[in-house]
Amino acid sequence: MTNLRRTTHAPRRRRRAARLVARWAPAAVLLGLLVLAWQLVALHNAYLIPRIGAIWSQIVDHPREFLDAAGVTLEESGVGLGASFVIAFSLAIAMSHIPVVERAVMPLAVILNVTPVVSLAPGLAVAFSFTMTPRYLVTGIIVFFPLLVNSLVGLRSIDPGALQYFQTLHASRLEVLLHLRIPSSLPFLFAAARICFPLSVIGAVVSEFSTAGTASGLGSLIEVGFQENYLPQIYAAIFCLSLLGLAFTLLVTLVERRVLSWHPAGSARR
Amino acid sequence: MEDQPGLVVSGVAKTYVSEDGPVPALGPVDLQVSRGRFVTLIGPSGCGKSTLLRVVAGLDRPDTGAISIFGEDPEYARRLKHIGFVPQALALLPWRTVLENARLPLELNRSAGTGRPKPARDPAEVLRALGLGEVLDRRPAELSGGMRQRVAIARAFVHEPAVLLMDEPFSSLDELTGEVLRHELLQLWQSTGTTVLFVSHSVSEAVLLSDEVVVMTHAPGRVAAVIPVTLERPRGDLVEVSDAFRDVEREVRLALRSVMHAGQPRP
Repeated sequence: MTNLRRTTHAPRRRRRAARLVARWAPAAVLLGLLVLAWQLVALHNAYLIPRIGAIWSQIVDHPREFLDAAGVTLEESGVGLGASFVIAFSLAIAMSHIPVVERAVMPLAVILNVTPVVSLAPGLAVAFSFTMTPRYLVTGIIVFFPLLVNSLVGLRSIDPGALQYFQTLHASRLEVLLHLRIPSSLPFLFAAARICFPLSVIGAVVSEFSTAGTASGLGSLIEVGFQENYLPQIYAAIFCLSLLGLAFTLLVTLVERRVLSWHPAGSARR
Repeated sequence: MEDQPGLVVSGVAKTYVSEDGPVPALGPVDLQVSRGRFVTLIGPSGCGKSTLLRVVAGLDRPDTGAISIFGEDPEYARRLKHIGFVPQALALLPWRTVLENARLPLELNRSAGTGRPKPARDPAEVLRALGLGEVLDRRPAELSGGMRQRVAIARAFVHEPAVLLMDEPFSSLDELTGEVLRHELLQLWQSTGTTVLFVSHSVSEAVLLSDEVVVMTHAPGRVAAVIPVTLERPRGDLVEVSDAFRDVEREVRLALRSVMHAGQPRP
């Protein structure tokens, strides 16, 4: 029996391995070539970019420093994003029910969106001195507009027939919101998450540039590396930031696949 | 019981306003559907059948006239969950399973459920009666068109509405599936005694299902003729090949033809 199972499962396993190779081999080869090119350039131009070994040993020799810094950056982007989502989604609910709220909020949100948020950071740092507040604020503001617009479009993208069906049963506004509007908005919220997670990391790093002296995040490590003219630290921090963004994207994909299995967006990425 | 008025439409008219001016869509229409009867509206495209259904459902207000559903106005009937609705586009919720979709009317407007004369039916039981016992945990996207239609019908019967409004529910199905579903609908309806107002564009479908076929004129739609269908119930698979069926079918077709010749809408 065991032998039989082994013989029937073996080809399937081989096929799965072949599919994985076909899927990831091109990216792996390209990455390998880029690493090689990087190393070649670095060997002859140490002032331009550091060697990969130097970047790696920077992280391996100071793991605590990079982990703590990643924790700080993660906290900034997480708190900013979370708070911004709660405010943007609540506002979008109000806007989808009360037109005057939309007329009041939307123009201001657009102005906030076209203002380069990076330029707000120094002002906020002065206002709140060297606390974490300006960092949360910059991160929150940078993701606010895409969260607001996607939430609003999502809450409005309901099937008109389904709304009529709810109305024939005299469903309350709260029931329409909970059973129809919020589930309909999920695909839009996941699309927003894909944009906003990396954006929140950018917000966190930018705010750290302007608020040196507060808890040290990955952006602060870059800032220090710049002041000391020490390239391996700068690129090690950038590498950690990329990993952070990648982890965020992976998390969104996994949750989306689970929550949106009924929607083409969720099932297409299987 | 049967001769008591279930649904009364008195002098109902509706005009929509477009950029080019007012567009009369309906009536005035007078119509009475006795309790427990199955009545089908049939007429030329755009004659206002669906508008009448929307007005009866309380989704649109008539410009003139009044509607009574078991003695209540549509707004109050909606509040009591007396209205069941099967829209043309089904409107199933794609994130809910088949069973969760059928359970929806019991979850919405719960306060109406307490004072209702009839208790709600078990959604799983209704779904099983329509042959969906094996797919209770599937989502609508995983089902065929006919199965999705069955879910929408089951959902409409679950809360035992006093009046069931159906807007061309079988129009998107192939002929064979439509035929099976019509007989399934008849069986389910006979077990409940619900009053049904059905919109159709198929003469044979109207005759098979109904106690009365209401033929409507071109827009603004009015009642041109009410043709009683006296075929015995329950109506089996062979009723459609009987002479009596053909006679009623012919009568409806003739009424429709005279409506079509009487007033073609101007392009």
